[in-house]
Amino acid sequence: MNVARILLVDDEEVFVQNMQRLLTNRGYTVTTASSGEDALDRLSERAYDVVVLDLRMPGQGGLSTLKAIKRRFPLVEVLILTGHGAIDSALEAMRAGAYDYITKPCEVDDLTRKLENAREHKDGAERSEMEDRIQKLIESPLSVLDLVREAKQRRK
Amino acid sequence: MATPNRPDPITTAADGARPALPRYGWMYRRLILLTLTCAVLPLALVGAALSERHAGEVREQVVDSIRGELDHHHRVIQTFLDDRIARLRLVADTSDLAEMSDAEMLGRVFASLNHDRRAIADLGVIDEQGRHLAYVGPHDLLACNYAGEEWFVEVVRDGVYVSDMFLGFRQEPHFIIAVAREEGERLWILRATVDTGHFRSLVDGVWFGSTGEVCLVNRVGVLQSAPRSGGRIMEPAPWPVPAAPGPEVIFVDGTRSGSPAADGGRDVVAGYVWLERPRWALVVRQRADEALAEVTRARRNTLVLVGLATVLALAGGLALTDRLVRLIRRRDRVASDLDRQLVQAGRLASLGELAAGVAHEINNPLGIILTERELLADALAGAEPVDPRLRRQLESSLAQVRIQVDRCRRITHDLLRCARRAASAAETVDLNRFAGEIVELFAPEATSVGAELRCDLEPGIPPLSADPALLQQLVLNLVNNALDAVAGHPERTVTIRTRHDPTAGEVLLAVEDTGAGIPEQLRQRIFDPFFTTKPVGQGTGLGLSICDRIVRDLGGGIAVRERPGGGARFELRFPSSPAADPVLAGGADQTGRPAGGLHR
Repeated sequence: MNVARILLVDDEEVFVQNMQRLLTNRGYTVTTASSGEDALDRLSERAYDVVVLDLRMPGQGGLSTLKAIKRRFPLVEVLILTGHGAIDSALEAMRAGAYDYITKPCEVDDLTRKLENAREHKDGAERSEMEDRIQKLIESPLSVLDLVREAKQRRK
Repeated sequence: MATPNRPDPITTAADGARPALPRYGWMYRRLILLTLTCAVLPLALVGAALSERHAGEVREQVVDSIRGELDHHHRVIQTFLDDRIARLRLVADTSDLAEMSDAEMLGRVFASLNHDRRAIADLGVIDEQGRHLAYVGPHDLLACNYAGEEWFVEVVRDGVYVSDMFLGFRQEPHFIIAVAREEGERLWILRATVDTGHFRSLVDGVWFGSTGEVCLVNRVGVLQSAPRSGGRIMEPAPWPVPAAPGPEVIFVDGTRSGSPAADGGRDVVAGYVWLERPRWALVVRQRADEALAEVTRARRNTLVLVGLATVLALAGGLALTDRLVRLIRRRDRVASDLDRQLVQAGRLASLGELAAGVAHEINNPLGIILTERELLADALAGAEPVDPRLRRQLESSLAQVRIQVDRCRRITHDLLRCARRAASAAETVDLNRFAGEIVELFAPEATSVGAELRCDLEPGIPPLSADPALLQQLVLNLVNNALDAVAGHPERTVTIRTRHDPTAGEVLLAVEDTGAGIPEQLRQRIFDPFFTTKPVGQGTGLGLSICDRIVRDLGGGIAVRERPGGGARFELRFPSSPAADPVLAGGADQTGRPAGGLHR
């Protein structure tokens, strides 16, 4: 299995750096972002497998960032970091498309477990989508043009 | 502190020195005034109207009865006088002067006129010069000449004359009747003195009621009969002479100046009618208090009735007002209590928000400390061989850091829970929707342990009243336990069921797992604090005891059973509506009472 690319988004700089190092030690490729806007910039630069997103952030909040990610990069899985007891916001986030949530403060082993789940889920989803597309192309070869148009739109 | 002029507390409150309390005394007075105005005033008006109407009717009756007396006596007296005049006229018309001048003949006529009873006292014949031609009677009047007398002038002019009463030689009241006869060229007059014994019995003896009387008075106000109430015949009447011809009935105010004083200033009802000849007025009088006794009685009755009704209305109004004001007072007190509670709750809620904020803020540095610890642990693991003492110290410190961070985490979690509780508010919760949310929330977790999370929801479950946050904590706990329980078992299914038990008025939520189940001997103990079946270090043993407490807070009950086919089933029961008795709904369940449809 190839190395999973993780984007860590949290306004707490030290936490992000530490977590980046911990995850790197465990074999992940980790990029960090300190805000929602930052995260969206990173995502448009290159593809990631899983985004770990804090819900409580200044500027563009976690939830709207999540929605923006899901709109523009539907294949990326998002893990939500939330405070204990903020179940309602976690639920809202999951409805908005997050894969799972993890309560802060979290231990790195819990995080890696959930990251693995998320990546498996993503792989599964990608595989089935790929199969869908191939099926589609077989059925109507012209629909490749739709895919091209879609890709162009996403780049914008 | 009691100064002499200390105002009563109500006024003080109304002055606005303290926050404006309602002015109950003022309210009380206003309400009573209103009640009185609304109840007593119409009552008095109706009473007055009834009394006035009745008085009017009685006055009409009095007028009718007086007028009846008047008519009757008028007829009797006029008949008597007309009869006497007619007899004299008959004698005068059927004889001539020569006959009548004969004393013997006149004596025969006199005897004939007095035949059945003594009607006339004397009889005389007078020629046109006023000379007495003949006379029968007790006095020697033959020498008298009447030529200048007023009565003589009148009888010559009118042909007939009736005099007022006068005292004759016998000091007896008399009056005369004279008729004139034209006989060819000559004119002569037949004159009779009426014996008043019989006449006066027609008037003087007449009484009606206990104060009613009948009397006669002439044009200048001299009594022609003796009134019963005092005053003597031939003397001026003690009351004025009516002017109009009548008949008329008048109510005389005895207190007015110039009004009749005969009854000692009392009011009288009087009726009068003028006779044709002589010009006497027949007067019927009765004291007003007797004639109008009915009015007085009616007025008294009305007064008593209105008074009674007023007293009743007053008592009723007082009682009603008292109750009303007391009710308002109680309501006000409840409202102000509620206000206070609301303020208190608001304060707690904002305190809770503050605590929650603090807890969240502390979680961030805790997260960092945790990552630092893990970094250090990683570094230690990958490091060159170090001094074993240093390594031991580092390892024990790292373990301690972890323990203390866990402790802090628990503290912040508790703080958050308490904050939520402080701000807790009952809301209407749709249990089915709620169960759906839980499943949604746990889906990734379930997938990661390879378990299946199912829903079995009964449609149309009535809502229940609970704090959603507490309920969430409760069910999250149970589902977490269930997921732990199925881990490592061949069949890994967790089912959330909802049921409605209308007969008990309860809604039920059950969490079932296909794990090992809970041995019967442990079922009583699992809700005890610190009891756990998990390996040491993996559970605090507090989850289910907290669940138990939350369920009781929500007015429900929790029970554990064996799932048919193996595994455990935790059942939560809640009263379906806020109106249900929480005491009845809670408690009893741990004894394992069958819980409706869920038990099959």
